[in-house]
Amino acid sequence: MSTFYGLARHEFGMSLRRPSFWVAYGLLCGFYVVSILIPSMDSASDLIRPGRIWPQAGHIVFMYNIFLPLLAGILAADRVQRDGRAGMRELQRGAPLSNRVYIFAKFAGVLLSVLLPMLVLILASGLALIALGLATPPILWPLLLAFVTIALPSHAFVVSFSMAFPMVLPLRVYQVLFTGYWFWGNMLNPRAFPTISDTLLNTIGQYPLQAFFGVIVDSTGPVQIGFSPAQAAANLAIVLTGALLALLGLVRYLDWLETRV
Amino acid sequence: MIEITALTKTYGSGPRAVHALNGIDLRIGQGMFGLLGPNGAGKTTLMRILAGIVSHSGGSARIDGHDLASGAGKLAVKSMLGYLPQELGMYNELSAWQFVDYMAILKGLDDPRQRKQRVEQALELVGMREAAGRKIKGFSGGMKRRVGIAQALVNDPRLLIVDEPTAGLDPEERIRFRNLLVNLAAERTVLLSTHIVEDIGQTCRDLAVLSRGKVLFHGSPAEMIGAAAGHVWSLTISGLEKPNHGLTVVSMLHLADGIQYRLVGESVGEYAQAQEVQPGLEDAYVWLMKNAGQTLVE
Amino acid sequence: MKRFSLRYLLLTARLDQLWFPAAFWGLFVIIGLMRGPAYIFDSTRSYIGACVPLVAGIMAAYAVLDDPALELRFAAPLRAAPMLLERLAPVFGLQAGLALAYQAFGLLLGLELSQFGSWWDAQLAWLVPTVALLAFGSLAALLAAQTATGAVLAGLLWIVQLVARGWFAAHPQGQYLLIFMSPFMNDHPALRANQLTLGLVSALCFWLCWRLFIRQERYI
Repeated sequence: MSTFYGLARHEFGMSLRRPSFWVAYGLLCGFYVVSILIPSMDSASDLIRPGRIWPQAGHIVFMYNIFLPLLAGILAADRVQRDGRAGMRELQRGAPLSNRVYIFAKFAGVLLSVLLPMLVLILASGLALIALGLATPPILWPLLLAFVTIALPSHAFVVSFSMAFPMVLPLRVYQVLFTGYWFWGNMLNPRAFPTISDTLLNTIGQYPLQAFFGVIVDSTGPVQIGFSPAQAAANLAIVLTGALLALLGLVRYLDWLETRV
Repeated sequence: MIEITALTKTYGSGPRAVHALNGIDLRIGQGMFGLLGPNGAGKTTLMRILAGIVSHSGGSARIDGHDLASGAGKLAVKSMLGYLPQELGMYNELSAWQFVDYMAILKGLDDPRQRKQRVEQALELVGMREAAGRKIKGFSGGMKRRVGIAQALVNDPRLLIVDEPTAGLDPEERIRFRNLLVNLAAERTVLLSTHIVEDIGQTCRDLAVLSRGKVLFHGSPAEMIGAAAGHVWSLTISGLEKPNHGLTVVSMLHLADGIQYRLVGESVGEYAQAQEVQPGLEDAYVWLMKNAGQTLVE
Repeated sequence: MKRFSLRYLLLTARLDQLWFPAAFWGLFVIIGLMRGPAYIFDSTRSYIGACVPLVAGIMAAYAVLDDPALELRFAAPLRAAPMLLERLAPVFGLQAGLALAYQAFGLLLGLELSQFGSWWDAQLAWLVPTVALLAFGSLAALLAAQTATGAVLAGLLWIVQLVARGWFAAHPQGQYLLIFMSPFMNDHPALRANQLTLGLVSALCFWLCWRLFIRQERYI
């Protein structure tokens, strides 16, 4: 357990220490502030009614979840591959460290690091709404719940796949494919182009947004009415199972690599 | 040929700035010149400045009259330069022949016939003629180094800069490399940077020792050894207690009747049984570092 | 002195720089065939206007600095501008070739280039976003002295502008920086101004790439 915790903590720190991490998140957050937050706060004048707190909270988190997981996925793409490039794998294999602990600890560290800016942004938005008199403190609880049900599963999915696939694909190929997938698989309107965005394989959080927070969003393409909590639960189960399978697949792949050497 | 005056190089700015070179003055002529020093002394920085890859912050550096402060000066130096960096990156999918040929093209050898001849000569010189058609990715470390030196020689450079060329080579390869460099130095300036003191002692007529960006010593190996005369001793102790009193242990040898220490220091103090010995270049280096206040690993 | 070799440029290129863009082209050919002639304009516009720029931007981020022999190259008597051109031109050339090839494929399926406005407008539909993302991707990588940062920012710019293109098109300043106006909004009143602005911004990015690349020590 201490090994897992130590590895995860170390990976968390390494991920946060990259200048590119903060530059990219800073630019994206700046875009959000300029394009969405300031205009919406300028135009809003009424306090969010109690009945609207949950939909508003869900909507806020979902809007952030449109782009932030993409960034998380691209930033997470070289975390495992990098250990091989830097010659660290040789040292790690010489230590009493199983591939399972190595991968899951690394996943935990990277996931926590990419969730941190998201969480900060969500809480800052909530506090800003409260400070401007547009919302009351109870909005913070639905915001956190939205973070857990919308943002966390998406991030878990993209981080796990981004750790796994660059082990079998060139990094830049994966980055292009992942960027294209994020748009195609989550935001493309099925009426315009064949896509999986309106299926249970949607990973951007449309299902929990509708089912748990009662929001129908048409700005990102797919428009569906009436996702039930059961469908949302199934969607979350599929997303999280996908993440788990990607990680287990990566463990198996590393085990197999070691038998070849 | 190489004139370096008050050369400085600073990375970063403010309180966290790193002063890699702190006012270097050197004159280097034809032949083999060695650069010694601990990690972080500034050897690689100096070599990269002379190779025109890194710009210096202050002072001046000229090679055959070309000022390395200007873009034109750097290009002129690069035209007569052969460079073997410490971390040698290569195109592993190319064969040795193709790699050296490509480097020749980048260095301006346009004429195909002349270039073919030069590539053959360079590979012959480093003993890679027979393996020339094999891909680099299948080479050992020593073979890669040899291809590296071949690409440095392909344009018949007047200045050869080699940074840690024997790192990772077996003893036989190291000797081969040393002899090759000495032959090359007969007609050009060869600047050799290394941690391996013996390589310098066996090949260089002139050397400089750098530490923390400054020149601690500039002269011949014999002069450096002479400075350490009277400060090197051999002492055998039967117990496990290591000699102290400001003495630095250069080497230890376990014998039947105890441990034989080779020591460098100001005096032997209470160790009256210590015998003064003729210093070698390694002893002289340790003595120089001690005097410079460098902390040595004991 | 030429100091350039097309043969070695191809031999030292990573395989994925060649097969991956071609694979994407092949995928969109299949999509075009599956969706049929009725949707060929959409398929063509999607490929040349969105897919080609994304691949160009991310590949450009890696093109200059992802070179194992970079220090040796710096030690050779090569100027910065030709070195940059040698690394970026193949990325652009390949994407340009594939964009033209896809249009040729589209024409076989009944594509009418007049739907873009004119033949020249059809070329601007891929040229403007491709050059812009290529310039931005390489600049971001050189500025950060890291290929990964360049790729991250190029991908981010692509998706943010693609998803929020409506916002950009309506914004008084943003409309001049929307890289997807040429392929997806060719009836926008600010189209020509947008294309001119992006052209100038791309040129500025390339100039900055050159100024940065002169400082070789940043990259070793």
